[in-house]
Amino acid sequence: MMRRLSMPMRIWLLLMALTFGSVFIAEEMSGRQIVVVAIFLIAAVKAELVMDHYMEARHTQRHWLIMYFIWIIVVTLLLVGGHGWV
Amino acid sequence: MAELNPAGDPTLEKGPGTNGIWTFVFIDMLVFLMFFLVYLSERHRVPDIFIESQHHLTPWVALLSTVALLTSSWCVAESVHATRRGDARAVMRWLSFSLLLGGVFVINKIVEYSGKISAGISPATNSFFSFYFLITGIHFLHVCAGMIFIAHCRARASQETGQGLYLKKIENTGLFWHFVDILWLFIFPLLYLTELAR
Repeated sequence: MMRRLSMPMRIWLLLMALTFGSVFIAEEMSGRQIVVVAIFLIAAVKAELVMDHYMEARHTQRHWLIMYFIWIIVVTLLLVGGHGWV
Repeated sequence: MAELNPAGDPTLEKGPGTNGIWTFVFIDMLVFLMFFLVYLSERHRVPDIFIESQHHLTPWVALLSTVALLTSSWCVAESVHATRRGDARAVMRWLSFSLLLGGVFVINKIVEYSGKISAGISPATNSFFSFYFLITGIHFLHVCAGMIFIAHCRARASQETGQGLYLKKIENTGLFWHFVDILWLFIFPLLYLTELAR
């Protein structure tokens, strides 16, 4: 079954699962600081999936791959830290 | 994965898109990094205003926007693969879906803004709503620009699919569209989910 699905579609299914998962976590497990960390980490994983599989960053020049990856890490740390962690 | 330069044109840059679009997108990403930094700085200064104001936003409306954008990104990724196969009809089909979903995002955002404005909420209400309208407004303009690029690629697909330059054009459009998607992936939890989680 999964072999018949194209790679972009498999990534989309994963992105949908992560999106609804983050809303579920935010809604059902609210009240814990770790939940805020979890939803930003899920956003970072989603951004990495889009960058890697849709933007095909691994196939561009290496310095772009490194800088885009660093951007995701910096934004994630900033958002998590800005909400009281790190 | 499909061949990145099936046309075999030696004048075309290797890898997806052009160096120019990777540079442009990265500069744009740095601008949004600054927006996030200033937002968090102001949130740290007046946390109560931010927490109270975030309760006026509707996460479910933003969830619909997220689903629309992610699905649209998938369609654009499929259109790039179809271009590499030289399948013009598939390119047009995927780009049409992508435009439709971009339209869902735009309409959803207009409805959201209208609701806020009719409730008396504007960028002048407080610093949270200044950031809300600024960040989502600039992102909204990026979505509109991306839709114009996609519409252009769709209009040229039947004549230009199979040409190396068209492949670069659609790859660049895709890179821009996916970048707009990545921005939203962080804006969504930042503005809509963090207070839901508290």
